[in-house]
Amino acid sequence: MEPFEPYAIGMVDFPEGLRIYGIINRMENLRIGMEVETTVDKLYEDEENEYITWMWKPID
Amino acid sequence: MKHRQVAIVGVGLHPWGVFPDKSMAELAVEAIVKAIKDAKMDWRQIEFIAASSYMWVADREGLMGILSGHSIERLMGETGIPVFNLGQACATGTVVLNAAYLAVASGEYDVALAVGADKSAGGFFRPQSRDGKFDQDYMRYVMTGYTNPAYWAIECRRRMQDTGTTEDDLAMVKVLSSKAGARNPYARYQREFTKEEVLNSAMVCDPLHLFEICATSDGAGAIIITSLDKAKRYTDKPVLIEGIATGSCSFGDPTIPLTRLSAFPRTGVLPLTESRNAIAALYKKTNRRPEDIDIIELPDNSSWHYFAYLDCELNLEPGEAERMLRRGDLDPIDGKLPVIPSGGLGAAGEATVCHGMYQVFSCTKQLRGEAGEMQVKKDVKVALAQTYGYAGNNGACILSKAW
Repeated sequence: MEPFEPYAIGMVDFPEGLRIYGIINRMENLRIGMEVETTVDKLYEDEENEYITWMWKPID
Repeated sequence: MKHRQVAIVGVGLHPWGVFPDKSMAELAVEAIVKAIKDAKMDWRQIEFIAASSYMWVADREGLMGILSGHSIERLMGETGIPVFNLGQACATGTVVLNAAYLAVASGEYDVALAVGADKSAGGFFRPQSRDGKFDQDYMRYVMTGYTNPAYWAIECRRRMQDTGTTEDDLAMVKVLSSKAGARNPYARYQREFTKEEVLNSAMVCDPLHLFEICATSDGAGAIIITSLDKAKRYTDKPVLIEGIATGSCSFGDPTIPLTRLSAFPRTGVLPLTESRNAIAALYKKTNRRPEDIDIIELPDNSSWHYFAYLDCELNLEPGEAERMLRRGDLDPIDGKLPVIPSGGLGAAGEATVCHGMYQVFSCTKQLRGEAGEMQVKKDVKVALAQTYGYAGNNGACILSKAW
């Protein structure tokens, strides 16, 4: 985990009523209430694999 | 339901801090010996033990941690009595006391011990497995980046937006609580912090600074209870457990409790239902109202918790807790409603499964007028203590004088 790199996270409300945690794929210009879309992005990699997870991509 | 009244007759703590040369059970024994002396009692008089299951089983002190109570009982002297072990994360201490209370209130036992000890892992808590398929905690930490302080930070950011909590308010929580912590001989950080120091400390999870988040500590606490009719044999100042309650979440809670990844918020359901449910049950059991409470011990894992749990405990309107703080009402020594007169988790650091004992010790000492330099200025008749834990669980109790 070192050196530590800051990351952004958010709780996102879906139209179906569900609220879900996730990483936001950028650090800048974030605000409560902004729209995001669901995307898939790289979490980390080791010698064998690249690991992916769901993330939020802000729509400006 | 009719049951017997129950009182606290002895309390004991091991100091909170970092004690690499002592085992979990050794910490507990020191706390128990103090509690037994406090109750002027003999170990053989204990009829029932409820113990906090040691949390750091996976990487420290091995499997016996789950059976903490049995390890502790063995060191104290095996008398063959029942020993229950309970694990409810940060709420464990209060839930253990609840179990001991039920054992005595039911009439099954006359004298019971609630004991907890912990040696926390340093730094941020971590997932205990590498199972990305079934371990929700692993998924939370690794796939979404939600460490515990990150969860607190995001709820805090939401509160600042909705309620107008300011950075100054958050810093003042530490400033105020450290005033009591500086006077507490059991606390790990026995000094006062200034607002500048807090705001200039490292940013951990925006908006929470290092000094606005509690450390993880080692510690141990023991509480001895008896039926009220027998309590006077052991102490001149028995402390009545007017009520004790444990709560879990209601469906539709807008918060996402630790270990979970999602929630389904429903209109009209307030946040932190596990705490609201326990506290509502507690007020009902005791026929008390928030106005009756003289002092509060709450789980100030971060400055956000301080405000969020005051809302739950006192059923406050949004922003009221912050206004009370700004007016000085919540000063832990000379406020109208002293909050965390022990200095709380901010001064102690969290020994996860026994913070409930730390809180009840503080309230007992305040009610007896034995809190020394920490003794609050107002007359204390009724105290409320509350812990909350992982995965949406909570324990709370109301204590008063029984003499």
